[in-house]
Amino acid sequence: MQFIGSNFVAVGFGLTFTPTPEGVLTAQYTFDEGKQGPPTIVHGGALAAVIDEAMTAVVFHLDLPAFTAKLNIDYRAAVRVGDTVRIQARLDRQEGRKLFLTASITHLNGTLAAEATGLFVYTPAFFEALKGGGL
Amino acid sequence: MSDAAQFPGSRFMRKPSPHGFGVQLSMREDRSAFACFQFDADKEGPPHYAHGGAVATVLDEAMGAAAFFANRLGFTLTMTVNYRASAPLLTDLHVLARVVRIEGKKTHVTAEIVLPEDGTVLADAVGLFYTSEELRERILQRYAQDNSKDEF
Repeated sequence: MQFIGSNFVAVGFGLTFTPTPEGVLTAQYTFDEGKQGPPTIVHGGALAAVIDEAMTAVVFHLDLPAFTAKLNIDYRAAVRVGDTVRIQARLDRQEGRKLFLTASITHLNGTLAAEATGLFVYTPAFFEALKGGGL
Repeated sequence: MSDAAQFPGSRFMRKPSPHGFGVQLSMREDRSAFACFQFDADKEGPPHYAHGGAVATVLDEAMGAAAFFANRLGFTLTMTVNYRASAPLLTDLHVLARVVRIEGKKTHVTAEIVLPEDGTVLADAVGLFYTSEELRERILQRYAQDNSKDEF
């Protein structure tokens, strides 16, 4: 099933992800001032949005269409408006319909800005019903 | 305690649709944060429903506002969001947040997004914020400089 990205992130952020041969989804991205939270700093929710999108891209890339059930984010270092970061996400393990994902946002100098764990629930029926409409 | 009944808010949240959320958090009598809002079509994740990241953004902002109303403005350290039901687009929703515990520089906050008609909780969150008087002053100072540039 093809994942072309959500309206919110693909259109609102202008962000798409590239798969690596190892099944990791990755993107490099620069946050503009529209995503500002506290003055000069990128909103925690904007970081959450790109993390959720990256994890969603992973499950669709693996043909495991799923919804986010739980998302935990640890904010380690501020990302400032204008900073370029690398976003990565991968599937850690699967237990029945539960998909456990991890993701990170790192500055280009290697400093960890945020790391996240996500629990997704495999729901093929919902997405099957949408087939043809694109997603 | 803060005298401001409205959270200065983030640019991401205050900016009107389609690029922002057009949401303004207000303080209620018990100092909790509240807003009635809608997710517009540009916040779509799965077809017809709000993106998990848009939900997280509103919850994070509401928790930041609750911390501000408790005079504990700071930065998010960790946030966990539980998605209980899909949040519909173009529907009136309520977001509520309140400070539940303060430990030194740590402020623990909870938030939820509910359907006002029947109180169904669509998503809830717990957040840990790093707060200090010095940080609060610094952020407010930056707001004062920043807001003078805002033209929306």
